[in-house]
Amino acid sequence: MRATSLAFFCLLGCGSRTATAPPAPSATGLVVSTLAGTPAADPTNAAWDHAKPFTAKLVPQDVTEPRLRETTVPEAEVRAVSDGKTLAVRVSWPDATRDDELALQRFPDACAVQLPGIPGPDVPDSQMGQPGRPVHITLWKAHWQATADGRPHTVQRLFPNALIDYYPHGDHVAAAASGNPMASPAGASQDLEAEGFGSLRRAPVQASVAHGVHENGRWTVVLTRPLAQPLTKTYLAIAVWDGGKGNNGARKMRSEWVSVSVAP
Amino acid sequence: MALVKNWQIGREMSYWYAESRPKRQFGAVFDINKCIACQTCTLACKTTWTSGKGQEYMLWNNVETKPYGFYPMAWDINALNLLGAEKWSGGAYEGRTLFEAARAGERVLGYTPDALDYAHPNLGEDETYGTTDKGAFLQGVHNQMWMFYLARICNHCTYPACLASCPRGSIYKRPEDGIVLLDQSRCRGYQECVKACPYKKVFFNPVSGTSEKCIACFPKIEMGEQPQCFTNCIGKIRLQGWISTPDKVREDNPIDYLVHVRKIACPLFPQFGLEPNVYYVPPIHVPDRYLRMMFGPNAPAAAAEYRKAKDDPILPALFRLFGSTPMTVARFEVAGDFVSGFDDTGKLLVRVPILEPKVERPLFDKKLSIYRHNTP
Repeated sequence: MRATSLAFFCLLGCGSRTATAPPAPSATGLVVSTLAGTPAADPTNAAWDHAKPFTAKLVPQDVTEPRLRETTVPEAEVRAVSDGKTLAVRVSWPDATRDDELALQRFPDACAVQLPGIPGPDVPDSQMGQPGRPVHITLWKAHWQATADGRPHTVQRLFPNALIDYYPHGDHVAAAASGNPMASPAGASQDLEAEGFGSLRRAPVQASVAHGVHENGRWTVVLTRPLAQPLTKTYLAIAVWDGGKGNNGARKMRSEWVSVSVAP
Repeated sequence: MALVKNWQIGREMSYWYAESRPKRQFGAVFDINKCIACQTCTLACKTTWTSGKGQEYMLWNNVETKPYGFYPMAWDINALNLLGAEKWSGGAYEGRTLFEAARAGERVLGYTPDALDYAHPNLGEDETYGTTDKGAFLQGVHNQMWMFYLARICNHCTYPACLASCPRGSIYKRPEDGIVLLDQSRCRGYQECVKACPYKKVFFNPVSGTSEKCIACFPKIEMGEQPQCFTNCIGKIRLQGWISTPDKVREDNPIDYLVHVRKIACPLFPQFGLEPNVYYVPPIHVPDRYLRMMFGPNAPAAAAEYRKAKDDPILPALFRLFGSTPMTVARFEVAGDFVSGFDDTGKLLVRVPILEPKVERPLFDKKLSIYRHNTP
């Protein structure tokens, strides 16, 4: 991981953009920088400074119940790079509280990147796609990140004074036994598909990876997904959840489709 | 929202989905007057279904003392406070249901308990409504010392709030028996159902990241057997069967007979609008105002009916069937001094005497040379 990050930094750092000032934000859409090496998975890698930022406006999900009443994160900064085989998107947004627990009434901060199921300029509804016209979603959640970083996922950690004698059925958990990825998360992200509200499902292939850090009152998350073919002009949308404000599921902040173009 | 018929509130109401009743509906009657809060039902459920990780404080079945016992803390008071004071007019409810009172952007009016609200399931146990002056004594009913035990499971509602609230349809009502299930393979832990259920009978499991609820022991139901909390009830307060709508009442169906024909069993908080399918014979010693609030406007009449039940030709026989068989009784018959229970196919499940044979023994047993008491 570190080697690839450094390689990416070197690629950009040694290139023609090194001496110039940070790139100006794109006003019209997200411009994906192209690389010869693997994109940096580490969100704090300085190489990301060279990717062109785009400010995505966020609005509350207010189409289907349950709706979100207010936006607590009005915008998020998005940057993207691609080596032709993978697309790495860095989403960064202010959030004073690091919410990385999933328990009763405690929801984790999260973000997601959505792409049309069929790459290209013809996109379905920006809110979870529509029947017959799926979207692909890479979802990152802060509690998955904490678990992936080594934090134990136990009741005793959540409730240190809970009285527990023994578990007659060992580690049996019904949701895990039924194959629910929520019960046995693998890594900090999930690949999902949707064809409209309420249709979110696990994608057949789980190939994305994500890594998020919370520093100085700000989440910065890199979501990296493989590309079946080199990126052409398309669109993406992002969503952000502020767990501390009760954001969860449909109660989220989301962008409209953002135009994506590839830097020459 | 669709308009659906809710017979418990005597009118149509708004619901998230159109009316779609199952082929038959899981139903039950609990005779509160017999419950001693031994918690055998609670343990029967706990050891069967919720002994896993993340279920430590999860009780699909619980027994709480009313008026000061709650699990989770203050669940009924919170739900009633959310709704506010509403009115009945005769048998019709004039107020808003939890669906009709939903705030903008929500599907159901609800609240999510705090995690610690589940930490004290025995809170308020055996506490009475009031105290009595020194030197006073219990005088009949409706004094300040009343309390009763309320055994609770999921009501497998006709209009479940949990089902309506789930944005991804992870909760469904089985068409074959009306049991409400939460699909553990589909739930994504949004907790909308925990918030929506006014009875707080959907629980969040922080280990699985999903919500979980009572399944009415459906593997037993499918074999014609009553759930664990019914068959393990040592007080024999419970009978599980099938409840019909008022237009399809069958007098030989024990649940129909108690709920519809004799109106001796009432739903729990019918004003919420969920058409819950567990019915309670109200406690006979509790003030009418409290009974009306908790079990609807017919509760005082039901309690009065129960007080007279011992002289009734049918009711003592039917109550005798409670706890007399582990199987689900679809039909009952009273003949002579016996009551019989039958399954769907007409097969005899159980035949029991309405009154146990009574033998009066002589005070002195000459054979053993011993005195014996006859304790009634």
